[in-house]
Amino acid sequence: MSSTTSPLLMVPLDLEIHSRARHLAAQQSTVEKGKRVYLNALAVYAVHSYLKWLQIPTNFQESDCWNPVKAALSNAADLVIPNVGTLECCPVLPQETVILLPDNENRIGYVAIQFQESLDSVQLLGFAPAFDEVNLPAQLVVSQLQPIDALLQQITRLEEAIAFLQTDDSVAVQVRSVLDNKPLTEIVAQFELLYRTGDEFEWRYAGGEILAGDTLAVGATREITQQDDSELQDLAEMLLEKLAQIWGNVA
Amino acid sequence: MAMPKASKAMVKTTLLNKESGMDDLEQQLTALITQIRQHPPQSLQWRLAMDRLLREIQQLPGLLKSSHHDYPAVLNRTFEWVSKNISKFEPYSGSVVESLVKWINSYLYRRIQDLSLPKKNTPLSLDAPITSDFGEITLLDKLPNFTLSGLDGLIENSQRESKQRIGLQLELYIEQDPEAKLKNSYLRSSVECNCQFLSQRLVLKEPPDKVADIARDLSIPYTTVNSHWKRKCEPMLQKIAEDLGYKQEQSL
Repeated sequence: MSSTTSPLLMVPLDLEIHSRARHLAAQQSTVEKGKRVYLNALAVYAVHSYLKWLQIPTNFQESDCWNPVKAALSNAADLVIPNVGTLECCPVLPQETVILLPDNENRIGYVAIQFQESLDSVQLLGFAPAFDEVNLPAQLVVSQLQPIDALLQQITRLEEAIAFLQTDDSVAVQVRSVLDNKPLTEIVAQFELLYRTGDEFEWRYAGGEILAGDTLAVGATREITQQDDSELQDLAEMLLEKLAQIWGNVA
Repeated sequence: MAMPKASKAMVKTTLLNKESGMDDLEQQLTALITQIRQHPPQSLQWRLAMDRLLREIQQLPGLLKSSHHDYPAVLNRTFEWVSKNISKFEPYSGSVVESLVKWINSYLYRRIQDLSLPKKNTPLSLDAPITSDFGEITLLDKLPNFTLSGLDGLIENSQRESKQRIGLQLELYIEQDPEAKLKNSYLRSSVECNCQFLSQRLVLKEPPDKVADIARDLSIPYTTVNSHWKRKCEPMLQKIAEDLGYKQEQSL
């Protein structure tokens, strides 16, 4: 069942979403910005609708794209999946072959939305999972996007890892104690990126950094900052072994 | 409005002309529905099968259509309904394709009929006459034709009619920075890296610069510039927008 051969999924766009998008666009400084805000709103709605069909709830109403001020300040097309992470929804106009990536952080992936002349529907074009923030590419090439299946895989991987970190497994318990109250979603997203893009020999060191970096970021207590690096690296290594088992089964 | 009575006959003729791929489609739909029933909705197997099933359904011949302006809303709801109810679907004839089309159409038919009823929670029906400068028109007449090429004109008009242009007000504020609030919010390590400068490059400039490029130009680490923008400048601009009279509206 290769999904590359099947037609793209279509998402209908109703009057209400057009009316909301128009209202947002009306408040922007230029037609160009208004158009960006308008298309972003439709793209976010399309991804939300699709996820709703797949019974994956989103915080659709809380997207920055509905806030005219935030929309004016940045290219906002974020969609939060609670307890998983944030997707960026990227409009792709006819004949466009690249997607310019906005300067946004902490995305678990990018969903490309194909627009056509008629705006009564759009198509889900493809997906690209998160990149290393420091090396975030300026653009995505449309022909290199993965099929939408990859979005479902990414969401499921993150959910399963987060579920594991909430268990009584000794590794999960240790990771939670090191992280204090830091959201598990952020840690899981970083480990998933490392697992997917890093070489296995980097796991130990880079994983230790993720655990250490985040404890520092929340203003960790003296006790934790003094913890030996190698202890965190041991823990990161054990966690990655567990995650590799979980993700190996999913993928 | 064209009511989809005639479509029933259409379904039959389409299905009678069994194309060579039809048997494959029968098998594929059966396999997908089985896969959906065997797995919980949070599983990858369920999700992939549902995604695939919806793709196939969208290609099925004979799904009811309507020329009503809000048909897309009906269609959107229908796919959600299919997802929630597919486990209750029972093929009642030899053909899964035929049964599935009929099953979905029975829902679509009702929703399309609802479209012509006046909506309970909206004071104005699209078809109800309203008075305007041009005499009596219906809201339906006022609905723009939503096309990509028509979008610039639509937005231009909406901006002209808009009472609140917070985007525009903010940009004027950034340019003038009347109390030098933005200019005076700079990094300890660099006076140049202040909120007015960052706003000019990230908001006024079209297309906006990348934070990474600004950081390189200023020889300041990316994370330093980025966190100044996110933690200082953006909240400050949000506050300024409120002071300019912008109120966060209730979400629709």
